[in-house]
Amino acid sequence: MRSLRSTIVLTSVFTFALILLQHEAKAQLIPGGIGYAHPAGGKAGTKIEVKLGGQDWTPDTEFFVGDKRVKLEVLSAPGPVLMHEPPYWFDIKSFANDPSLPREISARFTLPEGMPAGPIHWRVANANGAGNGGIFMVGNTPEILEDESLRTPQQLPDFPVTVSGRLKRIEEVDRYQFKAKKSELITCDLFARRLGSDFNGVIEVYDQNKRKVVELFDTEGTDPTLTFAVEKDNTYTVSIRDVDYRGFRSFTYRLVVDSGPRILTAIPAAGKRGQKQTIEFIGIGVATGKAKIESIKKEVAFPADEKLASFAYKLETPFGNGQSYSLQLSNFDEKVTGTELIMAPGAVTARLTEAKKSDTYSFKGKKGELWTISCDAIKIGSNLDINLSVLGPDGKELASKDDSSPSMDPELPVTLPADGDYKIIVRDLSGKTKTLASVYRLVVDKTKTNFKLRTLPAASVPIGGTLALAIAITREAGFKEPVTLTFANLPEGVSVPANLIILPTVASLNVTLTCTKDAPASAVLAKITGTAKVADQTITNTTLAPLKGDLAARNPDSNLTESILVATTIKPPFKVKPVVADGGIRVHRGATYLPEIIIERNEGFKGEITLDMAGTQQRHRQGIRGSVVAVGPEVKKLSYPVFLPEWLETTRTSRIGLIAIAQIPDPKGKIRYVQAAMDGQITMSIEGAMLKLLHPPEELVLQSGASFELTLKLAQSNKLKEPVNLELIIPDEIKGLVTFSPMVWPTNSDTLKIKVATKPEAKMVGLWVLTAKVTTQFEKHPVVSETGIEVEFLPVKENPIAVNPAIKK
Amino acid sequence: MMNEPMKRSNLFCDGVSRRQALRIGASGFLGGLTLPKLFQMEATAATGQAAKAKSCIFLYLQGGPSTIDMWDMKPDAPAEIRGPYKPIRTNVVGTMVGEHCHRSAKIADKYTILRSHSHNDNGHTTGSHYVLTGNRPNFADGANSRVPVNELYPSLGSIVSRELGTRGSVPPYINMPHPLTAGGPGFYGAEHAPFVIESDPVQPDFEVKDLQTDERLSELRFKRRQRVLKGLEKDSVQSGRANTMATYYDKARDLITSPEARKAFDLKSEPEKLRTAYGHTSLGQCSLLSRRLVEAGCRFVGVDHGSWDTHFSCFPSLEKDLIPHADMAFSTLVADLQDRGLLDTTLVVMMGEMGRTPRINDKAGRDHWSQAQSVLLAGGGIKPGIIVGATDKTASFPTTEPFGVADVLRTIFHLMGIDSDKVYRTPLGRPVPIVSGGKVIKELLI
Repeated sequence: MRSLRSTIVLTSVFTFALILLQHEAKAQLIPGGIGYAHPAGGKAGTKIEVKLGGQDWTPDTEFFVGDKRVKLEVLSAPGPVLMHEPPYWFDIKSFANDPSLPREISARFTLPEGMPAGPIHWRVANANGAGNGGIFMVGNTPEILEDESLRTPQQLPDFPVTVSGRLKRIEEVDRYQFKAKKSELITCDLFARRLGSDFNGVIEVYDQNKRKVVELFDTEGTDPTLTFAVEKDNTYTVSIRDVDYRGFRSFTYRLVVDSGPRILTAIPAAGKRGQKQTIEFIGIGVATGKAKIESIKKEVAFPADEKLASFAYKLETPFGNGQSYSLQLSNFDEKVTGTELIMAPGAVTARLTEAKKSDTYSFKGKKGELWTISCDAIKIGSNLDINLSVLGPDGKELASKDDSSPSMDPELPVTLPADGDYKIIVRDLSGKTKTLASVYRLVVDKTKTNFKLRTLPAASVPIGGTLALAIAITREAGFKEPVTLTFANLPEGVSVPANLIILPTVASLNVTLTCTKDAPASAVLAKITGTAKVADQTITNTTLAPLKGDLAARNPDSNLTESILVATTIKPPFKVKPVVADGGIRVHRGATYLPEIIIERNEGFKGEITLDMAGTQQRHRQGIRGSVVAVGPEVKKLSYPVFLPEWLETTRTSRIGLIAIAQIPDPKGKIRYVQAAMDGQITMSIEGAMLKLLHPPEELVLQSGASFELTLKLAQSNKLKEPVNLELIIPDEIKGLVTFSPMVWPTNSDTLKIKVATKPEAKMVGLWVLTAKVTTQFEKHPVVSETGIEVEFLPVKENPIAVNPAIKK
Repeated sequence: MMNEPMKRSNLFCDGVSRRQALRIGASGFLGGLTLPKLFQMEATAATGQAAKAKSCIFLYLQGGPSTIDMWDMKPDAPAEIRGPYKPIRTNVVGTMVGEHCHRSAKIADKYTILRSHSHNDNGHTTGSHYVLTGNRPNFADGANSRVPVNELYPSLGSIVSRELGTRGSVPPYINMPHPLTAGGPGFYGAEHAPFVIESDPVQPDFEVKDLQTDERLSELRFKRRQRVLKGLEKDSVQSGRANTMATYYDKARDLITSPEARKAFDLKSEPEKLRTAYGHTSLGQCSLLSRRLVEAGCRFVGVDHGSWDTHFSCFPSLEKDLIPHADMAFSTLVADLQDRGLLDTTLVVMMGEMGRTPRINDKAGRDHWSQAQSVLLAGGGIKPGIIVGATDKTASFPTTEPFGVADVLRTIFHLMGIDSDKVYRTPLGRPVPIVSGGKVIKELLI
């Protein structure tokens, strides 16, 4: 069972065990985090220019795609660390850690024609190691990009259409509008968590009278899909946001909007290869075109192709076709009835109802037989959360299972302890057994003698060193043969021992990857194959690894890859730590804090080191900003400027983490960027500011084109002795239309009236926030205060709605 | 794509929104006290008993001060216990304090160090709950992120507020710059909640928003606002309760315009030399403001000063920030109170929810340690210039009689003329004494 946010922490014991086995240098900073692409996808047969984002990318970071059909070109080096933009959370919400701070590159994906819809995993590596990447989604509908500059709802073209957008700031709500050409069903499918975007989406639909028509909250972390009826000629606005109104530039999404009925699931949810079968499609409007769950039967011809596991079926109805549904392919006669003896091996698709909250099936088995019992629900579009139990001939529970991580659908292997009749009980844990879509597909099959190999998707081998890479084996149906491992396409200079064999007595093998001292720093996608002989047959399986990225996996196998990214790395010959590591120092907000940083060099390293903000931060709150500081070879200690915005809460301990980066040649002479995380964090307890600019509240409603006067007040600590400079920051959209010349604040005056001029243009109309900003210096570093000034500009001919002495006629 | 801009709506005839109108007289702090509530409380306040201390300033060093580095030095202990600081002499023969407390050393004859304060709650929120209410919390440390955390038991400030009521032109119980973690009123209800400043007095533009009217609002416009507010309330003034509330609103308005109240909060009127002596720090300026509020009649000022949870690299922050800030603020406050003739009637207490571990950890910090902590007390009937209690050679445990939380609270209440055995009943009828157990620490009294 899965609840809001819990999906984030679903971690298999297997993965955890492997992580424990892999040795990594602690200080060295592997490019990490779950990356993102914006736009987050594109249509097959097109070239899409994107920004890829991820944390701690060096300028020499390389990008990889395992799918050879896809071309990924890097068009620029990573930019600076990108900060969270205002607004910020305050009070208790500011306790939550914000998303990691990324760097971005420009890149281009080239997708071949006819490529099926679905995710492409891209990955990263550099001289610090092989890290994670992200997901780029291939689509099959026309695509548009969200216009982030719009302040009004963006108009949608004809359906189907996919919008690539993002929730860039907290409190952001993206709005899309369309006028219904006819009365029909519309489906909005929001891809967010499936792209690796760590937010829970909300879809809200409003009619032209701004009344909410329908809403759907993704409280289970599975991404929301919403179908609703529209009336001809009415205008609808679709709003997209996070449940908690969170936002960041990595919160990318794809909104697929289509018209027509929407298939939820099917009975049976699979068909035998090469045969025709009558399928009951259950969905919204599939029979009448109305917004209700109903069903319709159609005869479907199933492909005979043994290589295919499923195929996309498009239901044609008089009310439109909607998106296709993925029917599973099987080698069984797929049954459709409920509580009856099952002819095991076999498969049955059935429905749980309010009256019938569980189904029981029986099968005969013999002592020592191995069976695999699996039950699909989420995978086939059902709303059920299935729990499976197997009872032995004595009536006692032999085994049970709820989820098979990362999927909520269970798969249960059992070894039968005795001859006799066994029972399988299928129960629902979701409580959603009230609809026609409460469907599951149970598959009972004898487990074939086989083995599976699993490892981690990335391995980092230090140049001149070794890495123990664990290959875990799962043996099925009495498989007890030795497995011979073969590594293909390792980086230059990396080798593994000969005759790598996983003996029948062990659960995993630690393979030592050795890198020569003269190897270059490089990275490749490698492949690890296992071969075994069972009787006269040779079984060959590729080692698979679970990729990160999909936070709403609907299929346990959906994120497995056979491409293992192996990188050779250069150990950082330096160490960086703050003098006051993790100890709190009280600092003024609105000012620059200068913590002392110690640089330790070793192995004779004399190159320049650059300090910058780390991608992963902890208690990094409300816009605290570090700097990029180049440190010369003679420097052993320096003051690192950290700017603390004046709006920081004084009740919170704040921190900032740094990284140190240096250019170092690899053994082949190629310059690489090596980075290490600072040991410890800069910790700050915030006190009140030394400088405060105020704009006494007033309601400014003006005609565009009018010049007006603003009164500003300045308060400053007697610690400040330097001149104070005043400027007015104008929003980009109206830059050039509002003018004010920066000036020095007159000494001995705490109040100042400034004149601001505007131009009478239509773009000016609306409510704008101008920012007055004063800057001075304390100990040669900036002290800043800002205040927002709301001004509403009316069209030139319209009179102000309120009398305001600031308006000059 | 951003939200559509908010449209101006719900404006009153003078361009003032309801939200703006109600902002006057409402602190906006959940669990804090609004001015109307305050006056309602004043109307029902109990009469105070004869007492040496009319007021108390409680400097709360949240996180747990390292008193082994300040007030209870152990120069003969091993280096990993005694730390890097040396003891220095004070103006009291035989009393030594840490080298970074040199200002306090010069006035050691004006305060007393209680070295044998001890309890066994090593959590921050749970320890704060215990120290400030005298009662154990019913939640685990870190499991309650609300402020205040004391939902049932009243804090000592709320008890003082209930027992002594108002005196002068300011609220009887004030917290600054933030609410104390466990400074809430508990079952006493909102009328005994602290009036929270919610603004850091170190800021150059420091003001208390409840007490400020917009300078641009003319008297005429201000009165128009009041008429608007009354218009909003007219549908409900038929009931007696609402009528009473309207009276309190009137009094709140009077306080806003009361020269005495505004004067009390006007830190800028203090000489710069004195402000500098207190320290241009949050603790320094809060201490100065506390003195002004006590002068204006406040009964209990709770100053919240955090960052004392020094697990890592504690010595740079202790010697650069924390100890000097506390040393300046405490020593100047005590001297300033005495200069003004207020020390005899003002009890000053400086303590945290716990102390720090005697042994320095592998991160060059000290961890939580509640078994032994030094508490500084001055004025209000405290015998000055002495040391009460002692700890062992590593400052780990008291070697004299340990004085617990109930003892400290009972002593504070005794000095303020409050009967600690008085019992109030919770809304469910459960009797709760002001202090359960403990005894007055007679060694501290004049």
